[in-house]
Amino acid sequence: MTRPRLLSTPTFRLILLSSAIFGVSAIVMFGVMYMAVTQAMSRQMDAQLQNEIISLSDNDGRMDRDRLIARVQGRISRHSRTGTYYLVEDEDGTLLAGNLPAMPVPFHGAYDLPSPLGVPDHELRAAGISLPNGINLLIARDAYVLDEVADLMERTFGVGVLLTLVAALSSGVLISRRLLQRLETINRTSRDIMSGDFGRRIPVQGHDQVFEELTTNLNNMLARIEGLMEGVRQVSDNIAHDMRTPLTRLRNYLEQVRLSGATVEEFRNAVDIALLSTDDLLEMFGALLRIAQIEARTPCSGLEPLDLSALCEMVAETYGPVAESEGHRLASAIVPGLSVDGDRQLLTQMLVNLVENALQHNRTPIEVRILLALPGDGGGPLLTVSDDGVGIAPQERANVLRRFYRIDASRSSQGSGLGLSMAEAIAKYHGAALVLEDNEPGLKLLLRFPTRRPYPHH
Amino acid sequence: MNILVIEDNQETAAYIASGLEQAGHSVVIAADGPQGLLVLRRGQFDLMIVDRLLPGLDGLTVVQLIRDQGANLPVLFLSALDGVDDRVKGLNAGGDDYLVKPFALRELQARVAALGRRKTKQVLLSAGDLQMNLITRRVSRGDSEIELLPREWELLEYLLSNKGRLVTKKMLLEKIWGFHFDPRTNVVETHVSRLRQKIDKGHAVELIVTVRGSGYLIHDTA
Repeated sequence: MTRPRLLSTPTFRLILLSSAIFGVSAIVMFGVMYMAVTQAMSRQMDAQLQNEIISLSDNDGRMDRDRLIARVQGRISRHSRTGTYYLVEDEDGTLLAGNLPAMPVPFHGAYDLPSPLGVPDHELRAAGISLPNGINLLIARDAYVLDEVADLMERTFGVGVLLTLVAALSSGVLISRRLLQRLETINRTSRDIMSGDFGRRIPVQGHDQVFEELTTNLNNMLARIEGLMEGVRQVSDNIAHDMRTPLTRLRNYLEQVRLSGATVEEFRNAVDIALLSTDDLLEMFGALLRIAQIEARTPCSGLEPLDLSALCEMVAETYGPVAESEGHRLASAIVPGLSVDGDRQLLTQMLVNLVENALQHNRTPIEVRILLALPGDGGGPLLTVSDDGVGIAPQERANVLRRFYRIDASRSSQGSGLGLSMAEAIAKYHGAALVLEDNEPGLKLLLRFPTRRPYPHH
Repeated sequence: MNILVIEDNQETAAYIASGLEQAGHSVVIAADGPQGLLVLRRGQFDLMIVDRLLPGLDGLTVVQLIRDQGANLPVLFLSALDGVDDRVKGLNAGGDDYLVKPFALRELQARVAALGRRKTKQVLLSAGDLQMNLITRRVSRGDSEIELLPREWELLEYLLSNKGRLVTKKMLLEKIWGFHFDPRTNVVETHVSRLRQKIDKGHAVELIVTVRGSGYLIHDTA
C-alpha cells in the first residue's frame, strides 16, 4: 500500500476536510474569546488604577501636597516589587515623588507607556490626573499580566488545536488504512478469481456490518456465477460427449447403407431413419436451449396466477390412458382450487416430465401417483409425483438432476437425460425446490411452491 | 393457394418454397419486410408466412401493419424463438399460427392446409356415415350414437374440421392439450387409438387413418 494511495482515499479526504473546517471554526472562536478576555482584563486594570488614584487623593483631591507625597512614598516602599509605579509632579513639572523618571506625560485618562526599564513585554498601563491643588499624579502598572494571560491563551489554544488535528489526521490515516486493507482483500480475491481460481471467496473479517453485508453479497454473487459457469462448462462437455455419440452412430449407419444399399426402397428407408435420428438430435438441442432460457430468467418474474389443481387434473386425465397403454397405472388425488403464481406452459411441461420419467424408467408395471395438497403450515401447495418402481439409489439422487445424466444408459435408452434437469430448472424459476425422496419402494418427487404474493402487488 | 413467404434466409426460403410447391401451392418469396409489404399490395394472396426475425422491419411489425390496413389473410409465423412469450407475442400481433424452427416440411404443409380452410366454421361435421353436431353435441356413426369424453370430442372435432387433410401430432398436441413441447410418451397415439375404438370399431371402413411418422387424417369417404 503506497502513501499517495492512502492520501487519495475518500475517507482520508473527508477527514482532512472536516479537520480543516474544525480548525477554522476553532480559530474564529478563539479570536472572539481572546479579544473579549483581553479587553475585559485591561478594563479591569484601568478600573483598579482609577481606584488607586481616588484612594490616594482622598476622593476629593483637596489634601495637601506633603501628605500626598508621603503617602506615595509609603506605597512605593511597600509595593516596590509589585510593579506599581507612581509619579507626582507639580505644575511646573518638578518631580516631587515617585519611582518613575520624570517624563512629559498627560495627566488625564488612561494610556500605555513604554517600559521604564526598557524591558520588552513590560509596557505600563497608566492613568493620570491633575488634582485641583496643582499636583499632577500618575499611577502605572506593569501590563505583563495581561500579556501573560494572552500568551497562555495562545499557547493553550495552539496546543489544543494541534492535538485535535493530530488526532483527527491519525484516526483518518487509521480508518482509511483499514478501509484500504479491506478493499485490497476484495481486490486481491477478485484478481485471483479473474486469473481462474473460481472457488475463491472474500474472507469475512471484522464486525463492520456494512462490510459484512457487502462481503456476503459479493460471495453469494460469486457462488451464483460459479454455478452458472459450471453449468455452461457441463453443457459444453455434454454436447461434446453426449451429442457426439448419436451423431457418430448416424454417420456410421449412413456409411453402411451407402456401401451395402442396393434398391431405392432401401435408401428411402435409410433416409427415413436418418431423419428420425436428426429430429431426435434437434429435439435434444431444443431442450438444452429451453433449459438455458429458463435458467437465464429472473426467478418468479412474469408469473401469473393459475389454477394448479386444474393443470394437474388435465395432466392426470391425459396420462391415465398413456400409463395404461404401457402397462402401468396412474392415480391422482388433487385438492381442487389450489392456485400458484406460475407459467402454464412450463408447469405443464414440468409435471409431464415427472410423470413420463416414472413411466419410462420402469419396465415392470408400476402405479404413478399425482398428489396435490395444501399442507396447513402456511406455505404454498405441495405437488408430489411418486411411483412404486425401481427408484433411485440415494447416492444417485443428486446426479439425476444433471443434464444428460442417465443411471443406466441401456435401461433408459428412451430418455434424453434432460427431463429432470428441465423439471428442476422450471421448479427453481417458480421459487420451488425439487426434492427427491425414497418412496419405499420407488421414487418420490416433491415440489413445494412458495406462498402466493398478494394479488394487488402483482 | 397463393402464398407469400417473407424470409430473409435464402436457404430456408427455398426449403419452404419447395415444400409448398410440392403440396400444389404457388409461392412468392420476399427477402425482407418492406419488399413483402410491396408484393402483398400488388398481388392476391391466400396466406402469408412470415419469419419473426427479419432485418430492418421485423415480422411482428409487418403483420401488425397489414392487420392495421385491414388485411385478413391467414398468417403463419416462423421463428427460431421458442419462448412462450414469443408465441403469445406472435399471436397477439395478428398471427394465426406459430411454427418453431427447425420444422419438418410435412408439418409446414399440414399447418398451411389447416390455415387455408380456417374460416369455414360449420355446425354439422361429417365423414362418411359419421356425423357430429356441434349444437346438439351428438356424435353418431350409422345408426348408433357414440359417447365421447371432452378431450375425445375436441380431438374428433379438430380432425373433422380438417377432413381429408393431414393433421400432425404436433398440431394436435398444441390445439387439444396446449403442449408446446414433444412428450416422450405416446400421448397422441394413445388418445387417438381410444377415439378410434369408439368410432371405427366394428365398422368396415376405418375413418381415422394414421400417416406414418407424421400424424392422422380423417377420410372423406362418402
